[in-house]
Amino acid sequence: MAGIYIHIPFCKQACYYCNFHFSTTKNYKILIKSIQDEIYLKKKFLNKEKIESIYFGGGTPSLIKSEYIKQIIKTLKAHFKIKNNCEITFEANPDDINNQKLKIWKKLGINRLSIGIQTFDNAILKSMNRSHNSLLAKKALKKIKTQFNNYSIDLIYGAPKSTIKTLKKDLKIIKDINPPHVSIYNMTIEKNTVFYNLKKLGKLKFPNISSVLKQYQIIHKSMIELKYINYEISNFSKNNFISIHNSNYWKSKKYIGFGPSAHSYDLKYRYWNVSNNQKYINEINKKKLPEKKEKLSKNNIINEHIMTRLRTIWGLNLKEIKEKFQIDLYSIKKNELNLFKKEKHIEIKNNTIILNKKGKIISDYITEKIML
Amino acid sequence: MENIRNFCIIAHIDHGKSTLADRLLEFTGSVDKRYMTDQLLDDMDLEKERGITIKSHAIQMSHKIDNTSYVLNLIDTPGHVDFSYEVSRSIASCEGALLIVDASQGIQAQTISNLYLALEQGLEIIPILNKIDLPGAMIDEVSDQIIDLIGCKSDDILNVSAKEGIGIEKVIETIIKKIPFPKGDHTKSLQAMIFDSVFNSFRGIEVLFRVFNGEISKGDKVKFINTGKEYNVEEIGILKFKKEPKSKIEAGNVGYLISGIKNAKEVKVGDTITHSDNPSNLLIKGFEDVKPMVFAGIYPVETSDYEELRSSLEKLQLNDASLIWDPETSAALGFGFRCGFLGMLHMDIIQERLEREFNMSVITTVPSVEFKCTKSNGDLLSIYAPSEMPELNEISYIEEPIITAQIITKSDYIGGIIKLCIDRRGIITNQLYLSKDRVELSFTLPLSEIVFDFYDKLKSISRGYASLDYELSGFTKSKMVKIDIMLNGERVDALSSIVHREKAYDWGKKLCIKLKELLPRQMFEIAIQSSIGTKIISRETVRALRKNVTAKCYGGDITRKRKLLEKQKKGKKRMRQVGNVEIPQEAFMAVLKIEQ
Repeated sequence: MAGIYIHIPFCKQACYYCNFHFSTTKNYKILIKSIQDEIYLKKKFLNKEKIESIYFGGGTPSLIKSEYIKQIIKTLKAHFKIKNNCEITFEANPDDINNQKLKIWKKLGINRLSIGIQTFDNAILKSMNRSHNSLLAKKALKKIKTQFNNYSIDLIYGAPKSTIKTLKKDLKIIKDINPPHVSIYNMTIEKNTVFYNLKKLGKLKFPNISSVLKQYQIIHKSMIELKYINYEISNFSKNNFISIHNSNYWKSKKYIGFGPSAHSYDLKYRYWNVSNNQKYINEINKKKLPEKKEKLSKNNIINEHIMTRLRTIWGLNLKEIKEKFQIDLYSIKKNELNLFKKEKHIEIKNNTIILNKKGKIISDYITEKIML
Repeated sequence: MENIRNFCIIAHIDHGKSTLADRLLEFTGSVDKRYMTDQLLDDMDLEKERGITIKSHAIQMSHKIDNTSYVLNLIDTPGHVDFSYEVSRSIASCEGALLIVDASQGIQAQTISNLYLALEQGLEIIPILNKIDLPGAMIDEVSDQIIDLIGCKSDDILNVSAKEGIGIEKVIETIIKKIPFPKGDHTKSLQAMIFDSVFNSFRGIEVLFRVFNGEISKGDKVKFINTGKEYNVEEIGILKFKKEPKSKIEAGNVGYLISGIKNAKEVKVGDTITHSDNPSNLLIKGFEDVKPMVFAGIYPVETSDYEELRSSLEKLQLNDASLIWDPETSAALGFGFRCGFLGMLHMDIIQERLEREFNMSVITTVPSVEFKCTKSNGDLLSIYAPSEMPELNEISYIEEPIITAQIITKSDYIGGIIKLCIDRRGIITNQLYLSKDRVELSFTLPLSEIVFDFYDKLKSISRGYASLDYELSGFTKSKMVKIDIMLNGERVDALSSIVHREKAYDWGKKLCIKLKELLPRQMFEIAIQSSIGTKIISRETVRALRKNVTAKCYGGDITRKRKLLEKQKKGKKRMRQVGNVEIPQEAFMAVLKIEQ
């Protein structure tokens, strides 16, 4: 089983926190054609392995005409073996949603939507340069609920201007809407973003660490009360609505990415496409793959395994490590593990290391200590 | 002998010594144009980069005037205060010296002390005003300084721009005309003084010498009087751009000797070479066994590199006999070496050479000086490292090394410099105006006070203009105490330092604050305490890590994040663990940055 990721590199406008690759140009047609060509060029990549998830991300997939999505899906079906009930996720912004589009997407086989809400607070939305407002978001979600039973809401906490109050307001709305899946990300300031520059200039005030930690505590408490499973650091879902596609990233399954800046992984190498639309198109035109790749060493693979597994509710199974890599991680990292256990950052049950609430907030620190 | 001229160059760093030397070589055709690179005499990359000559070298040129051919031996001198003894031996090998002064900067402290050395030895001084082409050149003013200093006439001063090649011919002529030819008797028994040595990995150590009396030939059996060791002369010759073997070198001349010596310690600068048969009993005067003044621990960053560090130090010592070391163990840093250096620059150079030439990553601990401790029971003890300090109740008294320092500065900066020296427990002993706005200040200072960033401070107070020269003048009783640092209750031996009692509280406090900046947050809170004996004098706290989590970790994020964590982990491998606290390398040098 493997996954497919399609990167649609277009946006209406730049969100001030986002460092994903996108362009505000409108040469959709030629780019979509290139994506189809790339699919053809890489048709043998997965060696007839079955596809259990497809994910349209961006950028803003909902920005382009549904016709283009249709062509891509058609090309995928022609060259890959796609499982019957394959999860097909489509990222959409609230301002692109109407009943007619929802119907078409559903008809194309899309069975899961991921909606970029971020917050229901208009002041914060504006400061992030999002193109929608709270009312629009609520209306869009109402429409989605009538057509899709599987959808996810993206939220951000710890953003500039965010407070305990704005967070509680967001969580109250989540309670009312009761979506099957929510991703709640801590605001991260990435390089090459407007926020990064503003922060460097001292022109942007962030909530202090105590406030952010408080927000984190509140999120955890509320989401558990609302019967969500925190199956990965930033992801919450109701039963049976865990994202197959995203979970596979953390279970080190193969994936293949199409479109500018998309990444692929075949258990041995990681590949990444050029993050530039025109260069991508030019290379594909020459029937070349616009990618670079890196071979993973055994240690790299083990470290990635440790890093991704620790983020999840399934945890890091020591027996699996032993079988897969012939190393006894527990004896190598005995001191560290016992210390983390003693400090209640982790639990070790059934040979499996799982971060608990205290550990999740310093998961990078723990990961680094357990890595080889 | 009448046609030989032996001379050296006295100049401050950056005043153009190496450039002038290059021009002399070029002018006399001593070097093929094809081989010309900037600053030929400075071999080591480090020397070229720093614009200083670390070790001295020598080169022979020849020049014809009025159909007479002259041999000109240029003996280069190191340009830093740490190497003043080597300078003195180079000077002792010459009959004349070129005094180079930068026309835009004027005379500096070391220039003066080296000049005095040369005058004491009776050298003929040829004053040269360099960089006259610079817009900032103060030709009249600096000429006056030179006249005041050596009592020459203004006509005697040669105006030169080594960079532009102006006045070079005149320099050569003056060397030949004014510098006396060497006096010596080649019929007497052999007396040659070693003024330098160069390590050659194929042939052993090349000894550079100046013959004062007698002559030395290939195949001779020779003895080094100080060490008492005897050798067969496998090869002798003169130093042109390349070595040129000869059958003999006579009194008055300069040359090299190869006899398969493997250990640089056997070749002491200042030692006298004589023949094993018919030896001269006379040592050429002025020999000193150079002693290190500054001591610090050097530890491998990767503990497994200990043996490699040892062999690197052994190799370094082959061409730098002034470096000494002994194995040392630290609870915090593991196995390493306590090293002795001539001074702070020498210490910097050794560190850099270890990194560049031997690819060794090292942690250097806080530098210290030699303290003499008289214990309550009357025992005498030399203390080279804080860890060697006895318990408080076992100490009767401690003596510390004192230096006399000369600082030459523009008069604008006198106030700041005096304040700096007084802060460092200095006493001003003299203040002498060299010209209207240049002053020579003399101080006595504890050596231990100048090993901590004194030089940098001096430079910043004087905007880079002040220069410093110093020599050891003796030991004096001082109330020195050892300050220990504890992290979560565990003493970190490598962070201990010896300071004066009156400064101890302030010092301990500042050190805790600095360490707080340098220690990364960890899972626990870290208590940083400083203490004298069992008495805690200050405390700071590093709070526990509160949040460190990647929000998004999908397709492309995985490799990016893994690489970042692996890189951090690699960085932390270089950290040392004491108890449950991880200490980054920089922390071990925190004392040096205490005021920053």
